[in-house]
Parts: sequence; C-alpha cells; structure tokens
Amino acid sequence: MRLLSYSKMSFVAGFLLVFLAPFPPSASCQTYPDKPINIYCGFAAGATTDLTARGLANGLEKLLGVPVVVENKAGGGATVAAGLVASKKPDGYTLGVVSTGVISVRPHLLKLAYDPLKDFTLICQYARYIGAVTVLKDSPFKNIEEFIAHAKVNPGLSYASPGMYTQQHLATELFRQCKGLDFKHVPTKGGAEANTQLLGKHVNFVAGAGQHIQYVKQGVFRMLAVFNTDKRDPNYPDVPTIKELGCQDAPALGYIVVGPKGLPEAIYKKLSEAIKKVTEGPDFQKLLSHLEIPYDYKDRAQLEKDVLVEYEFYKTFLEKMGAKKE
Amino acid sequence: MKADRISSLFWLAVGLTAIYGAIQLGLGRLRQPGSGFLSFLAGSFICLMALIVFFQSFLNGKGFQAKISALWEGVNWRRPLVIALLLVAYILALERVGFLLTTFIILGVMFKGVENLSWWKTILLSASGSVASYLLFDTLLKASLPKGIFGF
Amino acid sequence: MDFFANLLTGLSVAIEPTNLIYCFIGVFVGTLVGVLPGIGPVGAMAILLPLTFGLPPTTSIIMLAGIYYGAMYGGSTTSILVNIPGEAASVVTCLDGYQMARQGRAGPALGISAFGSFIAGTLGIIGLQAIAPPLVSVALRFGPPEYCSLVILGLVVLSYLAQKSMPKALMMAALGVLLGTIGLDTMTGRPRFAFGIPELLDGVGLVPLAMGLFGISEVFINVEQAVRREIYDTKLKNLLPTFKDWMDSKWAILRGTVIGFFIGALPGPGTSVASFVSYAVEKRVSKNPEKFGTGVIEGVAGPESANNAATAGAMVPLLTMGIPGSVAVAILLGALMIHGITPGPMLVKQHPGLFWGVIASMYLGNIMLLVINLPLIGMWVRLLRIPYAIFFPLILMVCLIGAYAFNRSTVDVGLMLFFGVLGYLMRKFEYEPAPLVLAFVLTPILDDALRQSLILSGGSFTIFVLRPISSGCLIIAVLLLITSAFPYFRKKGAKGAAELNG
Repeated sequence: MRLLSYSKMSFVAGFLLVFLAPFPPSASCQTYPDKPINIYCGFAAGATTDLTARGLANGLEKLLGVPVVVENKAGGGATVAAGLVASKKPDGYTLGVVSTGVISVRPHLLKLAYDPLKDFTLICQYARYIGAVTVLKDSPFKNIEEFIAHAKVNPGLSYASPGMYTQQHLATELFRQCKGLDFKHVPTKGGAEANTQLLGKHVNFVAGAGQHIQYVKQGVFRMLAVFNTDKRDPNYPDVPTIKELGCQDAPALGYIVVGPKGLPEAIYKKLSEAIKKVTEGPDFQKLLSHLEIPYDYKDRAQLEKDVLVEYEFYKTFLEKMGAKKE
Repeated sequence: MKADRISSLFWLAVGLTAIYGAIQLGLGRLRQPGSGFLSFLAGSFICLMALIVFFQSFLNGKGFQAKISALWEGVNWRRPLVIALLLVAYILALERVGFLLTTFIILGVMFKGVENLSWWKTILLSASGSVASYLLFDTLLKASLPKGIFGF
Repeated sequence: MDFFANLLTGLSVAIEPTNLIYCFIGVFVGTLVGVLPGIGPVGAMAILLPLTFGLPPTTSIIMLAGIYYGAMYGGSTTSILVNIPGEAASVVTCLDGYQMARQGRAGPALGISAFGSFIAGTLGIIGLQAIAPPLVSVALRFGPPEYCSLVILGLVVLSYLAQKSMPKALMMAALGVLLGTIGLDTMTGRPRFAFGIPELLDGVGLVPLAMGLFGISEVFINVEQAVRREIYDTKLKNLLPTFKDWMDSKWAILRGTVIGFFIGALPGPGTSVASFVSYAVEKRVSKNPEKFGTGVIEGVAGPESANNAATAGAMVPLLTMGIPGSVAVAILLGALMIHGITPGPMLVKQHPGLFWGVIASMYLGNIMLLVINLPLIGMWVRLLRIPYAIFFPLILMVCLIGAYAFNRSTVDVGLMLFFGVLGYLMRKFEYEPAPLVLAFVLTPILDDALRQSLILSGGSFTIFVLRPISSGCLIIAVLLLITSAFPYFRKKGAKGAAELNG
C-alpha cells in the first residue's frame, strides 16, 4: 500500500513539474550584466594570454560590477576555448580570449568543433603576439648562426611551442624548411608550459610566445631570433628577425575577445565599450608594457575585415607550405 | 546467473565501443600519436580486464560469487527508483519553474511521499531547506540559481 | 640564522592588522566554500579576487592563500560526514573517514584531519623556506616521460587500493581514463566522444562525476535498507581524537607530510595524487592492511596531511621560478603579476617583504584553520544525529545545487544523476568508484605527457625506460602488479596441489 502511494506521489509531482515545463526560461538584456561573466582563456595559466585576460577581467569587474572569472581551457592553440565559446548561449555571460589563429589559421588544417567565420561574434582585438627562438642562457649558441650550424649537424633538435599551429609553431616550421633543418615539435598548452619544458632541459629550445621575455630579463633565457614581426624588437636590438635571415615569416596574430554568434547588439555595445575602456586604462597598459607585448587595438568593424584577409592569406600560405587538412 | 559474468560482458561491450570510437578519431603514428590514442589504450585495457573478470567468474571460491537475484534480495529497491525518477523530474523542471519552487516541491514529495513525515514537518522542512539554500547559494555566494517563469 | 631573521621580518608583516583580518576572512570563506560542494577553491578565489584590488599585493596574496587552505580543509569535512568528496584531493578521505563517521567516530576523524593538516601545513612551510631552491631543480627534471610514468604508477597504486578485486579496480581506472578523454583534445582541438552535446565539449565535470558516484549512489544504497536502521551510529564515542588515535596516526602524519610536500612541488599533479599515494603507503606499511576501508584512522591522517603539505609544496615552483603548479596557484600568479610583480628567482631579492610575509601568513592561516574548525566539529557531529529520513533529501538537494552551480547547467545535474545510478549499480556489482574518479583527474596529464613523450622520442617507447626517474616509477609499478597477483597464483597452486593429493 505504501509502495503504491510512493509511485502515485512521484507521478503526480513529476507530472505537475513537467506540465509546467513548456514555458521557456527567460533572458533579459535590460539588466545585463547581473550574473558572473565567464571568460574562457585559450592558453594555460601563466601564459601571456592568460595574464592579459586576467588583467582584462579585473578591469571589467570594476566597471561592470559583477564577478568576471577567467577559466583556462587550454589546448589546440586556443581552439578548445574557441569551440567552447561557440557552443554557449549568446547571452553575454560567456566570452573567450583567444588568438585570431583560431579563425584564420587552424580551420584550414583541421576539422574543428566550430565554423570559424560564422560561429563567433568578434568583439575586439587588444594586442599582438610576438615570438622568438629562445634557448637557455648556458646553451652553447650565442647567436642564431651558431644555432643553425649546430642544427644542421644534429638533426632532431626538439622544441616546445604554445600549441599546434600557433604562429610560433608555424614560424618555426617555416624557419626549419627555409634552412633545411630537422626539428621535433612538442606542442604544449601555452607559453608558460613551453618555458617550463626548456627550464627542465626536456627540449632544446622554445618558440617563445611572450612569457619568455620575463626569463630573458632575468638572465635565464637568451633570444636568438625574433619572428612574427618585420622589425627588430626595440628592447633587444641585437636580435635579428627571421626575415633578415632570408626566411619567410608567419605574420603576427592578435589577442582577441570573442563571444558566441548572435550576441544581441545592446549587450555587445556595453561589453565593447567596457573592454575598450579597460584596455586603454593605465593598469592594463602597465601590464602590457611589463610583459613587453605591443598594444594593438582593433574594434569589431576593423577586426572583421582584417580577420577575413588573414583567413584568405593563411589559406594560400599554408597550401604553399604544404600543410594539408587532416 | 552470476553477477560478475554479466557485468564483465557489459564492460567488455563498453571497451569495444571505446576502441571503435578511438579508431574513428584516428590513432596517428607512433611518432605523432593522434586523438584517439589514449582512448584506444584505455578501451583495450578495459576489454582485457573484463575478460579476466569474466573467466574468473567461472572459478568458484574466489572473489565475488553472488548471483544477480541475490543482489536485490531483501532490500526495498523501489525507494531508490522513485527517488531517481523524482530527480529526473526535478532536472527537467528546474530551469522552467525556478529553483525555489522546484526544490520546495521535490523536498516536499520526498519528505511526505517517500518518508511519510507529517504534513507540518514536511512543509516546514521543505520550506526552510529551499529558502535557506537559496539565500546561501544565490544571494550570498552569487551562484545564480535558475529563476523560472514566476520570476523567482 | 638568516632563516629566523627572515621569518621575523615575515611575521612582522603578517601580523599587521589588515593582513590578519584578510587572512581570517580568506580562511573562513575558504572553509565555507570547501564544505559546500560545487564551488571549489578556484571558484572561491575567483569570486573574491575583486576584493583584493584595492589591497596592497601582500595582503591580497595572503587572503587568496587563506582561501586555498580553507577550501582544502572544508572539502575533507564533507568527505568524512556524508561521503561526498569536496574535490579530488578529498576522495581518498571518503574511504576511511566516512566509515569512521558511521561508527560514531566522526569527531576523531575530523579532529585528526584538522590537526594532521595543521602539522603538515606547518612543516610544509618550513620545508618551503628551507629547501625550495634545490627542490625546484629536481622538480624541473620531470619532463613528459617522467610525468607519464608517474601517472601510470599512480594508476597502479590506485588499483592496489582496491579492497576486493584488482582486475575490477584496474578496469575502473581505465574507465576513468576513458571518461577523461571525453571533450576537446588538447593537442589538436578536435572533439572526442562528445556525441554532439555541447556541454560535453568541456569534458565531464569532476563535480557531477564525484558527487554522483559517491554522494548520490550512497543515498540510493542507504535508502534501500528495508529495516529502518540508522546510518550513523549515534552513540558518539569521542569528540576529539583519543591518545590512542594520536599514537596510531603520528607516523602517518609525518609520512604524509613528506610525501605530500614533494609531490606538491611537482608542477601538475599535486594534491589529489599526494593524498592517495599517502593512503597507499599507509596501507602498505600497516600491520593490518585489510582493515583499510573499514574506518582506520591512519587512512584519514595520512592523506589529509599529505594534501596540506602538497598545498605548501605547490608554492615552491611558484615562488621560486614563477611556474604555476596548478590552476589555483596560477590565480595567485596572476594576482601577483597584476600588481606588477614577477615571481621568479628574483622575487626573494626584490620583494623580501612580500615573500616572507606570505610565508609567515601561511603559518597564521594554518593556526586559524585549527582555531575556526575545531569548535565546529561539535556542530558537525550533532548534524549527523538528524534522522536519515530527513537528512538524505537535504543531502540530495545540496548535491543538486552543487552540480548546477558548477557550470550553471542542468546538463551537469543530469550527468550527476547518471553517475549516481551508475555508481549505485557499480556498488551492487562490487566495482569501486574511487579508482575511476582518481584516474579521471589524472587523465589530462597522462594524455599530454604520453603524446609529448612519444613525439620527443620519435615514436619509440624506450624513452620511458632510458630516463632514470621514469624507469624508476615504472619498475615500482610493475613490482606492485606482480606482488598483488602473486598471492593469487600461490592459492591456485595450493588448490591444485590439494586436488592432486586429495
């Protein structure tokens, strides 16, 4: 008897609840933001992308008045984070900080979890990535020429990069092809992890992505050549660019903030204004100069144009490089 | 039928499915392992262990010997089932009806229907439980629990 | 000694009223958050990070560190009381801690956990000051092959923890690995086993998995009891650990501390690995290994000490080389960098006040943990006296909230229910959930390390045996496997012989 009333009660309750189910949950634009905002960062904790994302998050929190939480979803050169962002609701509570590579580079090489040109609302770009061939201070190579000579005689040198098909990886591959060398590529989840591999001497050199600057400043690393740029780094005038060595370079990608496709205009406006304010603000600028990352702000209109150009560029670039879609 | 025999066959099926899925993802070459590499190893290992458990089930005297029917002897299995169904209903209704109301109803049903407490106790406990947790998680910790069509 | 001079400088910084207050707030909030499932230390730190903006860097770090410690301890409380691990590191505490609670010994369990954590944390901090630099150079020698072998060793150790059948436990570990591969592949970014469900792109959440397999299934099993029996023995034996408890635990605590500190110093695995390695070691050195899992105090003292020591150990790579060992520590790193401070070899020289101040405040944080939590033990224990009929719906409710709050998604709640049912069936058929959860936590490390190692070696598996640390781990793993299979063969041999003669 008791058993029957259990089943009855559960059916009644369940029925009542499910009966009320057809009403969809509501979303509101008026009161945005009124919940914590999640920012998925495409690289691991401690990498320059992560640090700038956290700087951005702190500034946004002050402006918008809600907690802004950075979650690291590293992998695949920020494609993991990008895929996650693309899958979320466009309610302004999920954003991503990734590199433009997730849109313009990687889709040519892999089948991914998102459509690069359709699944995102681009919000803005705030900086450019830099890169360098970096070795430990106590390594025998004092400059890039010695390095190349050594590499010719010893094929199979290994290097760590911030991820598969990041600009640093691509630039190193171009360099490799150009000089006819043979490297082993170890992808990691971000600049910080790549640097750790070098610190532990598990790899021979690192395709530094920004975080290496801190170690160079402290005298632990030495830069041999910079890439992803046309000019020498003003802070390190002795270090040549890859172009000067006669090799083709991969153009620098940008740090961008994105949201899922279909972000409502009102929410977008609020967000982009806030982000612009934060990135122009003294705290953020200080962070960028501390990390020695070039500030390069692009708003949505500019970014959308440039990204398409980049997309087409990399399509031909990669084809010429011989990289094919897996 | 011995419990181990059927459970090991179940896990064997799981392992085989995993292997199949992993191969679809691509194993890559040994010098460049692909996405499915680890899943393949895990799936194969599951199959191997499942086979060991399966064969062990034919030996008497060692390990878990129960028959399936024995597992549920003498226990009131309807209660977990009812609770599970209630939880399913809860999940379906949560975002539509809102946290406060759904939780109140679910607690009420469990206290009254499953445990048969008095009406007074049921309402008191359900109300205090749902309200207290709402205040704690939503208001204080800002965990933003769902608010349904009624606005709360 | 230079050491004490530094410590005094540090203490003077730490005792400043603002720092003390924020330390207290951090520890208090951390504990609260740790007790409530769903919002882990990372979430708490993230939510409270804005409070630190107006504060000087030293104070912010002190508060964040306090939250971290507090949350670790809070997680153990729920493990002991209701068999729900607050986070990965507390899973092992569930094994014996919960059984102790059922026997009316929740007080001693909580108590030894608090004291063990305190002792370990304090010793860990001393270790941090004393041997941080040389420790870092050892830690750096752990490259992909070493991590891979370490994880494999960990998985074998896990299964060794199995009460009953080792093949079944190993299978559960493999299943945990399989579940861990669900999501986006971190090397290529491709979706794996996501079945087109967007929420699965991020993988299965640890919170729904652990709460389902442990908490929800526990409720299902308990409500099955036909005869109305109290789940917890309400005759409370003691509120605090007895002298005998202390005697039994003292070595466990010391061993746990050492193990935890060294494992914590390795960037990556950290606290969860530390706690279950400690459990395995305790079981191995114990005179009564078969009693583990029934409520043995060493099974709580060791792991709890280990995970606190690991927390201190995790500061080693951060403060000395600027390498964040885990996400929570990375938040600390981020906080430092935002204030314009770069952790690294220069940190101690450039900002001695910060460095020693943070260390000294960790001592204080540990003391505060003890002070706050001991009186609460009485309250927790009284909580267990609530009739299970009233208790279990509340447990379910807290789990449901926790699962939802984890990522604001009902899919996670659904997953938790799925794992709850699975866990219930698993227990019926005698498969253990602990190896699964722990393997699941380790899988991301294993995945990357395995693939990176193979790339480095050009496809050859010899890299794992040619490097000393890596081969050492693998040898221990193989030995463990052999010695556990051995009694089985002995028995078969004996039976065969008996049949021949009989």
